[in-house]
Amino acid sequence: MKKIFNIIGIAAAAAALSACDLDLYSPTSFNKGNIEEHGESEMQYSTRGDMEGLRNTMYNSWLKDIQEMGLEDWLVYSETRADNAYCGTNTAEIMALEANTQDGSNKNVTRDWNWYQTQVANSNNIICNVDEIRKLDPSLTENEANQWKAEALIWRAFCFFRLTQLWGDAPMVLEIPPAITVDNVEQYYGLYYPDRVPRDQVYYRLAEDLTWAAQYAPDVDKGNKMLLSKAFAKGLLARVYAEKPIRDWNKVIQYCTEVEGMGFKLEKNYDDLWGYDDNDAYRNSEESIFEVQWTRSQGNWVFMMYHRNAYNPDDSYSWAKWTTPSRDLIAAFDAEKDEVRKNTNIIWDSCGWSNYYPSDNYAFMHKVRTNASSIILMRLAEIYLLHAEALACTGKFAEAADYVNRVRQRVGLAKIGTPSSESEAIDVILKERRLELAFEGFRFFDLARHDRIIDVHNSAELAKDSYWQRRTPLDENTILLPIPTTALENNTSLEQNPGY
Amino acid sequence: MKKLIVFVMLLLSATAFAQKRTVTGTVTDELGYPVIGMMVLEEGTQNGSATGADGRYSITVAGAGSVLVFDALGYQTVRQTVGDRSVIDVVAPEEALMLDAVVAIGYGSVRKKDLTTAVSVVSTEDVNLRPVTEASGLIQGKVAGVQVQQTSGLPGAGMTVRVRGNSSIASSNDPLYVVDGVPVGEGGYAIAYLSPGDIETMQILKDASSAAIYGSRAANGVVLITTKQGSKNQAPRVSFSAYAGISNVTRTYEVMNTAEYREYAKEFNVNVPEDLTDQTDWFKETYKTAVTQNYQVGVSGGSDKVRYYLGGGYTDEQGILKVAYSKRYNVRASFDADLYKWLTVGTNLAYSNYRNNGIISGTGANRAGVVLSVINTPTYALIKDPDNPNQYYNNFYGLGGYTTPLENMARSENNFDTTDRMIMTGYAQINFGKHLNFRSTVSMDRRWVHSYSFLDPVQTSYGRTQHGEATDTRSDDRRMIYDNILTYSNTFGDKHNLEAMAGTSATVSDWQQLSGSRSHFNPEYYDAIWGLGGGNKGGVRGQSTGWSQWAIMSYLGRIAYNYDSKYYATVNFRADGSSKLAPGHKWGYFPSASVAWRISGEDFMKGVSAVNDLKLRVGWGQQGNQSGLGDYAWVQTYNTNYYDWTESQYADAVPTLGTKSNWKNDSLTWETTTQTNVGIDAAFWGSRLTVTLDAYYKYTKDMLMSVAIPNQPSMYRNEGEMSNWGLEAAISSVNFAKGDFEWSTDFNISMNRNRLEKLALRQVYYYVNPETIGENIVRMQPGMPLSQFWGYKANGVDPETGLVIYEDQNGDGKINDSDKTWIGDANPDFIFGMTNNLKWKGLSLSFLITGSYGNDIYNVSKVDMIGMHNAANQLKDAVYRWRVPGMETDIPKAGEAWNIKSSTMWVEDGSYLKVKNITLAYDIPSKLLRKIGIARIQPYITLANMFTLTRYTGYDPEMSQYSSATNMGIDYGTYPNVRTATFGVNVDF
Repeated sequence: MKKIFNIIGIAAAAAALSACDLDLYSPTSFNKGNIEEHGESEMQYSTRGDMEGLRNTMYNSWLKDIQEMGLEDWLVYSETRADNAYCGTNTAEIMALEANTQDGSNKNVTRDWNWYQTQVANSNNIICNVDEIRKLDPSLTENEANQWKAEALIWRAFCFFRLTQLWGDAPMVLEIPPAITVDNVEQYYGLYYPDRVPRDQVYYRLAEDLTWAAQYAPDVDKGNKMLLSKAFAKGLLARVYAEKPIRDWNKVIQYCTEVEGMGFKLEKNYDDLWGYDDNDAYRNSEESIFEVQWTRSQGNWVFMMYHRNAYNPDDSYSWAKWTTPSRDLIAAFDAEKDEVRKNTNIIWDSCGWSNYYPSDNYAFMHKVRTNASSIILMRLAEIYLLHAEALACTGKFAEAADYVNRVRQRVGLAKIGTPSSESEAIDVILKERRLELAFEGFRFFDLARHDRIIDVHNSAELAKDSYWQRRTPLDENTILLPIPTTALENNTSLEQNPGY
Repeated sequence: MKKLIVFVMLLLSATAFAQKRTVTGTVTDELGYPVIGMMVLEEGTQNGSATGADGRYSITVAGAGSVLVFDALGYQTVRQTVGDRSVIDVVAPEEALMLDAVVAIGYGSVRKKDLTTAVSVVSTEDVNLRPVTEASGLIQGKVAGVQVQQTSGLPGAGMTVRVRGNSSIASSNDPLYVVDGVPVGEGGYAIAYLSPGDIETMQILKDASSAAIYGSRAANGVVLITTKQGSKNQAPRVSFSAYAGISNVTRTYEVMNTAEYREYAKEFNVNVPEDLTDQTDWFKETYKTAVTQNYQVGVSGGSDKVRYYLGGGYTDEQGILKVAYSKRYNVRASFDADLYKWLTVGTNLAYSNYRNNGIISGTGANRAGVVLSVINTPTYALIKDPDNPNQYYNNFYGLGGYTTPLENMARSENNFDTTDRMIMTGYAQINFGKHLNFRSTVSMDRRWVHSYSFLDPVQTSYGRTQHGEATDTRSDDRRMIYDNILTYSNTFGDKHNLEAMAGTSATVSDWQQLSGSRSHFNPEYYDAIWGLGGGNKGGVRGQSTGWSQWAIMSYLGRIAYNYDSKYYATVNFRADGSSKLAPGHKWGYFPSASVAWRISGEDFMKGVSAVNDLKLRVGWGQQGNQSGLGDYAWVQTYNTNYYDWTESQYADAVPTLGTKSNWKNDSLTWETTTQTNVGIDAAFWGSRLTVTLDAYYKYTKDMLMSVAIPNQPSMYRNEGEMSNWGLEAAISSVNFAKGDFEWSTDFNISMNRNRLEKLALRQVYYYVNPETIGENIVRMQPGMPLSQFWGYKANGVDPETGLVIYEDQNGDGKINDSDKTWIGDANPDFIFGMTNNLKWKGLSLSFLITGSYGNDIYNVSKVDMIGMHNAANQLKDAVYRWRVPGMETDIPKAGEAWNIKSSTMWVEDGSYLKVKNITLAYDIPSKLLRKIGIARIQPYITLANMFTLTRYTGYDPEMSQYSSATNMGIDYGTYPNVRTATFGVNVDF
């Protein structure tokens, strides 16, 4: 009998001991189990430190992401869809963009749509929280809060601007949607797939945000041109007011003048803007207003899309590069006898493919030369030319020519005379912009805002060059890109752009 | 006890009946081993005896007319009329698994005839005759409702097993494997350690009422495996088996020669010099004949109180692509002892070390995909660069980005994954009398994985760019399983049979990992220092650690009742608590019930002699699936911000709290599958013909999926619902059994219809966007099954332009996204398998035929082989491409992006019929061998995967690059399946 009790006792003990702990938290990441979460509110940011962390993430991560969606893809829209460059290789999505046969399933269009909106949402994390946090955490001063909010507003505005340039009416999310849980999913899911807002509204918002930001953004720092500064905000305002929806040339002149007065100077050698030496690439030039920067140890990879990393010349480069300079662009440089800019923009090298040029003398885009090189998003020369554009459109042809000549003199070209009409002035300015700002993301949009893109895109001259894809003619509707099909499927109230 | 009765009876009867006679003899089985404990009965009386340890028996019978009946579980009953004889030796043939045999179900066992649920037994007779290196290979074609596919020929890859369709998107659809009562995990990795030669029996629990006892891990079915153990009172038996086989790739392709290629490449401005000629046959250089070897030895035996098994083996499978291989050593020992009458203890230890390596697959030749580069590399290319003999040739005169297959294989040639797996189990079973016992088991399942990769800085161009790279990852995964089960069984009043089981089970898992990487190796000495030490650059943060845990606590119970083996009812219940779920939602409850009616036991059926067994069973149950849940799935976690300390401003930076990396989900819970099953088991003509039919309906709720929320981290939630329904039929018949010749057939056929029922948030999902096509080829939406292909309908080539004509579905005059439609379905209409066994004297011949009908395959590889989108070499068919307006042909114009959109051009019918296995074996007659102590030698020849009937133009219609339920049926540079011829021998001492 005793034996049986013993046995049952052991059995029961064994059963009890085999229960286990079900409350486990990850030991290798920050989570609820090891940091203090902030009550029931959905805001996990409540201190100055949190906001500073987000600001650091903006500069270290969000901005640097621009190399893929903001440069690599953007140049296809700005250079290849116009007349500056062939798409470069037989990747389906960029071939379609060159041929103007893109549709809602285009991979580049889809990823860019998503990326710009992600950046908007990222910025909103700062913009919408910083004022609340100033109340919660007194160590965040008013100056800092306003400055950080301004910087985030500038980044958000930059992204809104691109969204609307590409798609016209665009989603404009200004708040952080509430978290979805099982209970509220029906209510809030739609907020994550917002409807599009008419183009004009986006522009008004841009003007508002940038004007406020221009007041509180940090001052220009000569040693750090990756700062989202007052100058950048004003430069963006100038660009925004030049576009058709809220065009106001006087405002363009006003803002260009203000930027010019903030201590920038044209770089003496055009080529130095993208230069490098044995140790490092050149950055923070006097002409640069805003650039995204890298270092040699944490470099960019986008150089691989265009040519080589000058610091590692023996690395394999075994696949055809994107954005190959077109014969039309080369002819344009030659027509102006513009050797300086031609050689800065284009480099000839030998390679293993011969898609557009013979493989022993192939043309490459030359504005990203090393993995440490910066991507300059705004510089003084562009502001001068924008200023000239505004002056030309308000009848001040002589002053317009003056600004154009400042840019031309820098590269040793002869001055131009005063144009006799607005149309002639615009032609001259657009030609100058093409040569000065080649491969910097302007060409298509410059032509579009002056209603010249359809003629350039569909021109018979261009079609004579058999290296171009056979192009479907561009029309008013297909200046804009299609809305990605996945976006249409996720929000059935969205309508596709006409023409697609 | 029995011996005493017999003795007394003999004494009594000795006085009463003078004509009595004593009969003695020996009972042996077909192999000549003595059969111990077999009942010897005098028919029509209560007189009986049993055979002893040497198979000898002794019985006194009434007279010459008495009939002796020899009966034991697992053997065919033998009748012998005594006649004049006083010595009757009997050979008792072993029984194929008949109604009396015992079948394992979760945490217990029942006799096959008492099954109330859909459990299929996989015949393991031919385990020793087939070159199967992984347990899942034994199931193929043998079980109705279970689809087993060799989705890749990679050594050590195993097969993809699906029981009654796919019911999950984010979670695994692999069944749970339970070996000797210990759940070892789901899918191939769980079972890779087990050598098929160690398997004794294999059962598959298909429906909810049988699998629900495994609760939260059982939604995809459970495969119960028992391994060879020693038996009571058995003299030591040694068995040895070995085989060697050669394998070859299933097919080759003809590609363009240099002259044809030169003509073709001109269309892409690639000019190949006129003096180049054909130099290399890439098929011959890349594929080789592979040798597989396997050696297994085992010894088992037992005495009255102790039973043991000790075995070990080695398997070496080479790949037809030289860098792929799989080598495995395995050792197993099991030991059971009856310490006291009421206490049995035992231990089971399995250890296996296996090492394998693979190739770059699932991608095109421009990304170093090996299989496609065999076709895409022009034949003028050499193997090594004549100017740099250490490097592979890579001058393609303007075709950029491509590398030869040998270079692509060299990229992964130094890599390996080594796994040490050890499963140790110890148990104690306490018997409280005849009816009650308590069993406590502790198991440790330990997996050490060492993954190493090394890319040398010389041979390959990628290696030269990266200056060589090495990564080394070591991980340790330890699982402890504690089971305590109390079982009670009794018979009341002779007809009421009751079995009750209750218990607890706890599983705790702890996984840790450390990894590091280096680059920049010395090109002259990269072979000298192995591992990370040879690299100079470690990255900004080159090492990382990982640690993760989970636990499940379970309570389970079962009550099984039957009345006179005619009316059955079984109820199961399991409650599982998982650490992966949010507080308040951690527990899941999985009940199940089944009833059965043995119609043949009723009086009104007694007259129907043709039908010896007819049983109707109905079952219902709920099972769960938690493999899709991350270990801390419900918890809100945050990113960590790291800073580049090489920048002066961050020289002293520390990590800070970052943005949210997921959405916490306080209502995250299991996927639950509710299944209803109706089945009929029937046996005719003394079980010569047995038929099993099943119909089932499965509905999965709370299906786990990761929902992408725009501009936010994605949210893991219970998002959708899916249904599967199907029919299964399994027929076994002994067609012919006269004299020395026997022919039996097993046939099974099944169909499954799958449909995604509901999705809560996003309604359309796309999967698989191959680089060349540049479009999504798989689309999923509610109302359709999974794995549906999406694209244009192609209607031939326009003779005027050479462009493919796509159908304008919406009639708007434009061909764009809105003209896409459903163009293929990877799910088969039905699958079937048939095994035929023919035996004549010692010779046996068996065929295994498997087939699938109605499944489509998206041949993405074909786009790289004949899509003609760049100057890479193509199949010979490219010679017939469209060149001038007016030319009528099936092959379109080269170099047009228009022609390589996602369309029916790339979707093919993957229906197939395969003679998967032909085995010829001969049992050498044993009389002579018995003298040297060898009980059996059986040499055999097996041909595997030799004959395939299909219209599919790829390597093999079974192949699939992905095993996820959402994108089955896609062939994209997948490692090809092989044809194997094996010669082996099994020896028993």
